[in-house]
Formats: sequence, structure tokens, C-alpha cells
Amino acid sequence: MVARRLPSLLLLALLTGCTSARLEYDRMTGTAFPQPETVAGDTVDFTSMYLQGNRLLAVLENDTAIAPLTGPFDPTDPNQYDYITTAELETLELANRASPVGSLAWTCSFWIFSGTCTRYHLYGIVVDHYREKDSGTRSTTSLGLMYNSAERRAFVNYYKNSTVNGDNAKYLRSAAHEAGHAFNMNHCDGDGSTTIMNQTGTVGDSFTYEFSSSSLDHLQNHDEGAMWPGISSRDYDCPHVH
Amino acid sequence: MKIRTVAQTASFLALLLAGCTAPTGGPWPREGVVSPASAEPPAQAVAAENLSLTISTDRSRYALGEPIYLYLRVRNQAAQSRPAVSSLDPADGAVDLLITGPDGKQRPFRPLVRADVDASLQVELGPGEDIGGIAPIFFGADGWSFAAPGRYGLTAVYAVPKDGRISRAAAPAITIDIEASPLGTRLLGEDDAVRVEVGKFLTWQTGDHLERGQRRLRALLDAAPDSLLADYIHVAFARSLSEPFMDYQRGKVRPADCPRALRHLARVDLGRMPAYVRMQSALAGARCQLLVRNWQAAAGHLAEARSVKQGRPEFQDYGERLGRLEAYLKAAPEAAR
Repeated sequence: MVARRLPSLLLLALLTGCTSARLEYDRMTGTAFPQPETVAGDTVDFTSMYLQGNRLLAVLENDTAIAPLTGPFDPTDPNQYDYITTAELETLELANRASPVGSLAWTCSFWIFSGTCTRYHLYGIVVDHYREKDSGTRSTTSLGLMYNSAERRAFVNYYKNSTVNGDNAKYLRSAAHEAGHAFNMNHCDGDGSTTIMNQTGTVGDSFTYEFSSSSLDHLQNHDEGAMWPGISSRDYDCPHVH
Repeated sequence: MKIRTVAQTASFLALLLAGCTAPTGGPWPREGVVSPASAEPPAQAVAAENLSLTISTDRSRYALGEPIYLYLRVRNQAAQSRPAVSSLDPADGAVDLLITGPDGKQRPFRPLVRADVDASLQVELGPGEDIGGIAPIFFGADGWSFAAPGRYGLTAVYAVPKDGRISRAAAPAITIDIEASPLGTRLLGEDDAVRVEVGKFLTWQTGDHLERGQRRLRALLDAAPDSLLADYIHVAFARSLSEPFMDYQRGKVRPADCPRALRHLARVDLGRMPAYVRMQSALAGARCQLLVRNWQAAAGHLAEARSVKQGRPEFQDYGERLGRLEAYLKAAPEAAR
């Protein structure tokens, strides 16, 4: 009976779980969120991926109607509004983020249980743009970006990228990868193999929705203050050793 | 019935409690949790054969608060092609930068952003070929990198992941000296939030929402209009104003303001600016002069940009934009006359 009810119990635990993270996910019109994939009969999504590391990550799909801005035509750069700078991304977050940066703690009680619950917050947004490079040109190669390394609080998916808008399987892993940066994981926690913290270009078509041993060690054993999103800057130990 | 309800409730509470208190591999939830011991190990790092990485700066002495740019170059010294990553932007993941402070401690430079990129950055580098890139290293996720006078060491590591291994090439270290500057001290200020906004604005050379940072920069322009730092500030404002800004906080696009941008540029002594700043200044100037149909001045800026780029693979990313502006000038009927 309990086994049969495990998914619903798990869902409930996720919603009420005492230490967890929540991804507030917004998107622009004309874009889509990454959809769950089915692997060997199992559904793979953000939550199942982060459960590997014994972390509860719930996704709240929030605003889905953010209109991309456009302005006066620029004859020297007809595609001016196709790409977006990191500074402009910050204004998107300022305008649309509903969840706080960092954690919220509250007293929670249920029957005989009484304690403190803590939830950490992460913001993600799917934009209908390319990334703008420092050279002022569009990057067609960037799938996503964690754009606030100081606090590990937010990431973006660039929907104009052809992989993001045309290959959901890679889009899902890329989004989980960016969330991984917010959980303070590095490329070197997976580089060279098939796992999530590799860059999408590194794994090519040979990828799994799994974390490497180094990433799992980080998620399961690193100091909490250096793991949950939104509370400290990234560290760059490569690979993470605990 | 009652026993079953109690059992279910007890099981749920056990799960909930475990979830609350077991963030480090505790007993629940077992389903879905993976032991690090059974997961794929990280890739082995090996020394890159015949790939060399070198780094340089414009000068070896800087004033406190001055923006500093690191130029990176990778060369294939082999007689055969080698796998490489074509972007040396630290945000794209192939390059890690390390800074040794006056205290002798080495720290990683953490860029403001970190990207996921697709396979198009994986290239084969031919024999003798170079890849170049530029990294603003004066400000990152940890704030100002050179916030105190003294001698700093800089180095970088270039990593190419391929076939389950990471080939690494380390650059020979270089040093720079940061000299005390009352104006630099004022630029950095004491308020952490404003200091961050100043750093971001000077790094990105844009950011309408960074209002407090912009205010401090304008105050410095008023206080020391002919200073070296003022030149950097003028270029940052000029580049910002030369482009529209999609301001989602205000819900509208702030259009480019070329007359103001050009006024800022007119104040800059480019001869004392780093190559990166000269390039950005030239592109902003060319763009604005094209928009106000001052073809001769635009041609001058484009020639300056072409001159900065000449023989410098570090500016490989700028060819596309430069070519586009040159094509626009060439196609302008009035310019042809």
C-alpha cells in the first residue's frame, strides 16, 4: 500500500518538505518549458534528477506570458532585438521574479511532528532571444546561462537556440545543468563523460540524465551553505572533493 | 482499518521526517537516490599535448580601480590537427582563471555568468593555428579582483573535454602591479551594493537598471573629468548609449542616444586605453556615426577597429560585427559620393 502511494507521498513531501528548493520558472510567449522525458519507462524531470542527489527540487511553472520587448528598427543591426544581454536579463528577473532570493524558514507542524521548514529559491526563465556576446553579436551556440554567479540564484534558457527549440531531450538536460550551477556544481564535476554537469556540446548525443559521482558527492555531502541555491557564490574546486 | 490508517500515517510521517532531516544520503527517499560510489566518475585530467596557452595584459602597472583585460591565446604546436574549444570566454567553460593576491594566496576568478554551449564550439585546430579571447578580469562574481594595491599573479588553465578525458594546458604566470589611487578608492567606495553596480556597469558597459552605480560614475566624471578612470567611464557610458536597452523592469526599450554617446567618446584619450576598450569605443563610435550619417567619421572609427584587430586572434569574435558595419557604410549611397 505504501509503495503504491509512494508517488503521492513523495509529491506531498515535496510540497511540504522541510528542506527543499523551489524553481520558479517563467517563460516568454512563443517559448516552451522543457518537458519530461521517458527513459526506460521512467519519467525524468527536474525533480527525479535532483532526487539522485537526495535533494528535493520542486518546479513551479509561473508566468508564461512575458512578451519579448522590441524597439525602433536599427538599419545597422536588423536583428538587434533577437539577442539579449546579461544586464537586460537582470531587468527581466527584477520585473518578474516573485520568489525571494535565498531561503525562507517557517515553523511547520503536522500531528506529532513540529519543526522548522526551510525552502531555497531559484529563478529560471525561458527567453525568446539568443545570448548577446560581448562583441555585440548573437551567440547561436549558447543554450543557457546561470547569470548571477555571485548568489547562484537564477538561470536562463535561450529559446532561439536551435537545440533548445528543436530537441527537448537536450533542452531538459541543459536546463537541469543550469540549475546544477545554482546548486554550486561545476562543469568539471562531469566533464568528459555523459553526465548532467557536462556541457551539452561535450556530450553530444551520448548523454544521460544522471549526475557524476563528484556531483552526487557534492549534493549529498557538501556543506549546506555551499550547496543550496541563492545563498553564496560559486566555488570552483574541480572536481568537488568532500 | 484503523491499524492500516495508523500504519499509513506513521509511514508518511517517517518519510516526511526523513525528508526533513536527511539531506546527506539518509535513509529516505531511497527510490531515486544514487550513491556516489555507483555513479560515473568524473573525467581524468591529462596534460594537453602540443596545445599552448599564453596570457597577456596591456600593461604591467595599473591604478587601483582601473578595468583590466586579460588576452588569451591558444596555439596548436603540433603537426596535426588537435581537438579544441573555440571560445576562450571563461563564461563558456573552457578557461579557468586564477589570481594570486598580494597575500600570496591563489584564488579562482569566478566570472559573472556560466554558460551551457552546444557542439559548435568543439573544433579541430589546425597545425600552427591560434584561438584567441579576451576576459575582463577586474570584476567577477566575488566582486573586484584587484581591490587593494600590490602585486598580483595571473594564470589560466585551458581544458578540452574529449572522449572521457580532459586535456589541460596551463599558461605561464604573469604579474601586474596595482598602484594606490585616491580616485580608484573613491570608485570602489565603501557601499558594497553600489560597488557591485559600478563593477557590473564597467564590465558590461551597459545596464540602465544599475542606477546607483551610474550615479557614482557620473560623480567621478564631475570630480576628475580628465583622469584616466574618467576615460573608462566615458567609454562605458558611450557604449551603453550607443545601443538600445531592453528594460523589462520598465517594460520598454530605451532607444540608442547617439548624440550623447558621441559626446562621451569625444572626451576620451584613446592613446592610453587598453586594446579592448579601443575596440569597443571604435565600434560604438562607428555605429553612432553611421546612424547620424557622418560617413567620414564612421570610416575613421572602423579603420581604428580594423587596426586594433589586425594580427590579434583575441579579437576574432569582433570580425562579424566589424564586417557588418563596414558593409553598411559601403552600401550607403551618400557615403559612396
